[in-house]
Amino acid sequence: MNGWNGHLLRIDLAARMAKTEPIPKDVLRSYMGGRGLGVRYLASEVPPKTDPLGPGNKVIIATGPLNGTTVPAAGRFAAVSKSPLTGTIFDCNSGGSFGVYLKSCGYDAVVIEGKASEPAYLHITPEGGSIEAAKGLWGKDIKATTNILREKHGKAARVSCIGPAGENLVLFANIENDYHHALGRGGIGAVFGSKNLKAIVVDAGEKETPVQTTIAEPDVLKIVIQEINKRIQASPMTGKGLKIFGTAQLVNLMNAMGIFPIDNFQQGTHPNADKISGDSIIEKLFISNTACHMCPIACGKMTKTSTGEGKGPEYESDWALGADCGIFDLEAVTNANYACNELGIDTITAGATIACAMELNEKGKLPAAWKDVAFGNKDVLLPLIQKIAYKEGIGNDLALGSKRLAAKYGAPEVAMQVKGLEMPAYDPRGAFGMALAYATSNRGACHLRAYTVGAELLGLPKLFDRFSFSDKPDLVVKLQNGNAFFDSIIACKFTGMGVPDDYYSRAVSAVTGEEITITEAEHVGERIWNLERLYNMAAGFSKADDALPPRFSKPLQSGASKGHVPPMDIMLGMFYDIRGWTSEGVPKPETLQKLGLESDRERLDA
Amino acid sequence: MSEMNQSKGKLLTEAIIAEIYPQFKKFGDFLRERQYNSASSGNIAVRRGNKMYITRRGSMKGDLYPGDIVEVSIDKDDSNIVIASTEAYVHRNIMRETPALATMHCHPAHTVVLSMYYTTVMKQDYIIPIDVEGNYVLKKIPIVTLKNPTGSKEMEEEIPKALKNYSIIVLSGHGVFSRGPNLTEAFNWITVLEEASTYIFKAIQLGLNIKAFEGRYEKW
Repeated sequence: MNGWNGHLLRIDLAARMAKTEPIPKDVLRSYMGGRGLGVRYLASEVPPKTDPLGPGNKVIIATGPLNGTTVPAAGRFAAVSKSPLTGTIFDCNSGGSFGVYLKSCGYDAVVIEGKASEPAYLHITPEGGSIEAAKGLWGKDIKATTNILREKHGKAARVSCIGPAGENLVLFANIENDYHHALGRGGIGAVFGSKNLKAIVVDAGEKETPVQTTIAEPDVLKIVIQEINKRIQASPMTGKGLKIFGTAQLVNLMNAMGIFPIDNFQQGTHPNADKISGDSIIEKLFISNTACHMCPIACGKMTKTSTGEGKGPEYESDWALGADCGIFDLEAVTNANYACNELGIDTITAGATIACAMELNEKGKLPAAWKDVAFGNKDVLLPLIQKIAYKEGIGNDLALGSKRLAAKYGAPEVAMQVKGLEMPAYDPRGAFGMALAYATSNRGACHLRAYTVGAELLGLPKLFDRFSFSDKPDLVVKLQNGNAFFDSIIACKFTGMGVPDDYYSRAVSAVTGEEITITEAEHVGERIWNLERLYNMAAGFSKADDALPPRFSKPLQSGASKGHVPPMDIMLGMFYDIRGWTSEGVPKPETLQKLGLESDRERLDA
Repeated sequence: MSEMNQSKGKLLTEAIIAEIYPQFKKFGDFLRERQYNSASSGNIAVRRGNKMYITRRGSMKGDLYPGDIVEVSIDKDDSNIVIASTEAYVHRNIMRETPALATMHCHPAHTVVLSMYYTTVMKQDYIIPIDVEGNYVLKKIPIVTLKNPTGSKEMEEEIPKALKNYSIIVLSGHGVFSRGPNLTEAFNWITVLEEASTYIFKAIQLGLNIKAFEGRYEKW
């Protein structure tokens, strides 16, 4: 089969069994891989009211049709599960090279179910999967775990693992692969922990270069790849900005636009932002660039502080652990970022939850044990991250995320979250599309479901008015569908900053031999989006959850975005109409029929 | 629909037209300045939810007023269709069947003449720009040839189909249809194509072998 292996590996941790299963071609054609394939299997196999940390939950690791080809920036893979942080269906994806090596073992996906009776890790080879004892690994951080496993299985082996945070069921624990590439945000690391699963090792043999995916039309693909590369090189974002400064190039831009959240979204700009900008990172900490498999952008930055060394910080981490907490000390922020990476903690939720605690403290809502947790106090960052990972003292509360923390201390409005997921580094009052994107995201407040910042602030492909409302519902739907496709094939969204959206659908067509126009690509994305919606509704979510925190119904008082409030009711109504949903946000029968999801609603509700 | 809902709907329509009118005015002026249309030919349209906002039939694109913007439903016929552009059904189907959030139609001279030359003399149903920018940005532009290329059912079916995988196409002997996430992008495609067509036109006049400059985009 061109583009896909046509098989998945099913692992039952409780029974210590591994078996290979075929994946029907029509499922691959309809869902592609990555997020789509994972969502399809999770929605079919895990009832929506399942306890995310119970043995009934599953984790699906999935690659896509472009993995293992020479298409640039298309070596990513996804993990899908029911999130312990949000309670929604949840996907996240990661770069590095783990996905490509997994696919070269002969699998498009791995379905992990049950719970191991004792700490274990999974060893996957072209011959199948085995469950190995994780003695000597439990309790180890990411680097140590990865080193031990690569020592044992050879340098060609690729490792995804959890750190202490995952073992201790921190609700926003990450899985980290290839040392410092995260499957982040929704706490799938804690799902690993709940299954006593420490790591996955993919071991494709001694080959340093993985087996190539078979391609239907190599001559056409060659042209498409050349064009993608040309675009990546020519774009100032992908060819220059990301390469030179990394994602933190956005700090100064967003600060100037007045949408760089400060002190838990109480302000949108700060005079000290430049101290933690991409420019400052390059000037003070930069060692070298690092790239994911087959990626010419190389946005990753290896850095060094006076006490440590590692990757990052990326823009979102830089903001969450820095500006959102009122901290503009680059060294402190970077060390906090290193600690999160080594302990296996999501940086956005960690920083945003600490910022929430700082505001709770400011409002006098917290007991004496929290007295030092104050905006601008850089000295609390590292100790708090340690306490979160090991659930020590106040770390027990912080490990729950901001929604549960703020609710516990009687001020739920202080949590800057949607559906339990913390908001990232763009104030929605300065970009109305982003406001709608946060509110309607199926996995909670996320910038990557529909990154309208590209259209509203960066002019990609052409600039939209960031304070207009009438064009945003269509834009958000288009981006949500397009990104669901992108997360499934599975490529890096940064390419979208330079490469037109139809180039990757052309690449998929050339690889698979299936005709996938950009129109069809968005249709695939729409199918995935609606299936996620059905799952969430059956899990108990409704229109009431498509909402921003009350803070965003009042305007910012200063900066370039002051005085604006997104008209959420109007935009949400238009959004539901466009999606073919009722005014209560429920997909209409004709919408489900169009997408081939008629039977899913009834089955999930049951 | 209740009286209150009707009133809310009217207010929303007014608010939307207030937002989009300056854009229609701007791009209508651009089309006039570049002489891409006769006084009232061509259309400009955007999608807003399940509604399309399109220029009124016979409106002068270089002198648009808010009243020249007509709201029509995308999913079904409504009575406003009688005052909307002649090509309203084409635009509506483009919005139904492609990712378009904005569409534009006009008659840029070099492109229109070139479409006739390519289909009748060169026997080729696509244009590949020979200049660096046109080649880089557009690569390949399909030429659609129809028996009845004005206001026909055939157009309503074939133009959207051709735009499924391309951002701009030429209707042979008639004009171009472009789509984008906004009008800026839809207009940009038109300007790049017309400039590319101008270069091809001049190259042919000079006797250059245009095939030598096309690159390898036949399969794009």
